[in-house]
Amino acid sequence: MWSAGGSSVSSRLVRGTSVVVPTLVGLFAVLAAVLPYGALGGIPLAPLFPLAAIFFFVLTRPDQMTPVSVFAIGLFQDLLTGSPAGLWAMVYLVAYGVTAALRVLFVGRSANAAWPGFLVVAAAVGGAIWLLASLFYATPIPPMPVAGQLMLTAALYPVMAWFLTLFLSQGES
Amino acid sequence: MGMVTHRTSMFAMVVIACLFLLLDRAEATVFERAREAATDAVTPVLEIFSGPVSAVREFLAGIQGYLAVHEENARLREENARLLAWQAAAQQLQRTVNRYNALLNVPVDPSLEYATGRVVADDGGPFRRTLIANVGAANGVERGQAAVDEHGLIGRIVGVGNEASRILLVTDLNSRVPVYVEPGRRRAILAGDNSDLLRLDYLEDDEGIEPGARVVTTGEGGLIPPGLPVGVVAGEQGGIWRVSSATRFDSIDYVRVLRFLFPRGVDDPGIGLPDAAERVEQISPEEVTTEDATPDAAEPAATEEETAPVPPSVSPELAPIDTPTDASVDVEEGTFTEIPAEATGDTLAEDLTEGPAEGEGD
Repeated sequence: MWSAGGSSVSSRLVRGTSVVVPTLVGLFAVLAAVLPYGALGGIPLAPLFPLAAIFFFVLTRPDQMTPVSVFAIGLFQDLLTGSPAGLWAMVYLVAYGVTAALRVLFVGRSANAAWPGFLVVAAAVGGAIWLLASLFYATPIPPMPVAGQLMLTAALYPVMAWFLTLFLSQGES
Repeated sequence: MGMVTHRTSMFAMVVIACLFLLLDRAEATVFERAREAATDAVTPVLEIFSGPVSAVREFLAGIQGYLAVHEENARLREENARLLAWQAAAQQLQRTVNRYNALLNVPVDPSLEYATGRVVADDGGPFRRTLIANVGAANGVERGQAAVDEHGLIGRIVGVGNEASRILLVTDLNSRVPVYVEPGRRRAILAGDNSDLLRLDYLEDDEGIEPGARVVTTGEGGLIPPGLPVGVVAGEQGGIWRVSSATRFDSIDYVRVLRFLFPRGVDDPGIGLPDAAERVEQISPEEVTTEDATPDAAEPAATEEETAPVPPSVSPELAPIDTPTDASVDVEEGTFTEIPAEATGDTLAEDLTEGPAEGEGD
């Protein structure tokens, strides 16, 4: 992995460009998340791909996924979904913080081994969504859709982690 | 050093996110341009990817449909038989209505144009119920207009880009639509709470409301046409009346945005004006149906009834015309279903008022 500690011009440049890929992946994940998947058996299919991307990068390449990138991904989702501006940005910053705190437990292990960590992050995100949206709309929002969306995302995380690992290894080879 | 930088920027980003939220809460229009620009920018990309996604979704729905094909077939046969009877009734009623319209010199309904678009994005999120369709200002779409599917109203336009627009579904927490509950034309506000069952707030009077009663828009506000079906009353839950729509809100493919041209500047100034609409509401069905039971005698009766509330500015316009035109508006608008029932003495008309409730309530 690229070193992020150096301060020479070349290493700064490398770090600058290396931040671009995870941010673009995150933005693309937002686009993928808003496609009209419909519902299966009455459960809306709306996995939070950006959350999986943020978790994946903070775990495997912490220097490439910065809070500014996380904010940009969240704000993009806010604008695209017509959600209150700053809401998804805030939610993803919470996810970033929790993932960064959990990172020591999973460092050096495979992305799939971190799945229990993703469940913890998903739970924190669920709480953050519910609290922020309820405060914003000044009425408690139904908690079940929040739980459903996060459970679906958690169930799909291993697939998404596998895909991202494959995608990044292809890009680097 | 890296972590320290991240901590600083994390703090800064949290503060900015909070500021954005407060700003959006205080003045929702601040971010509207940014939303429209973002929607417009990504719609071409979404159009490319939503096509295959819709195809897969339809394929899966097809498999589900195939499993239930026998039940579906039986249901459709039964429905078809019922609808054929209805078709005959509707045609007959249409002829009757046309005849009365001609007799009473009723102006035609305000023109209704529409723009059809494909749904390219579906928020699907836990607290918003919005869709993005690939029709925008270039197609004449404006904020506030109604979006419908084959079952009726599904939402209204809340953001318009040049090529795309955002539809706030009636199920969204923020959706409020003025409606009538038939029969009796009882007013209520149709509110969403993010569930598929809609809520009836501020219901005028729930006496005698039965599950299956049709719910239609009032047309107040001038952008959503009156009489658009929304759904049927599903029942009462903890003192709140619920409405179910035939639309499956999580799998809407195509939408039609109605460009309801509110009739201003037409020959008859009394028709589209809000005060005229208000007067329409005040007439009870009984008053008008008694007038109409004997169509020949209706004209003087209607004139007597309606002379008082008609503003002088309207009457002179109507004077050259033989029929009491202003009253005729009230007759036509206020008792659209009652007129044929009384005038034709036909039981088919009774079916018309009962039928849809039963049919959709099944």
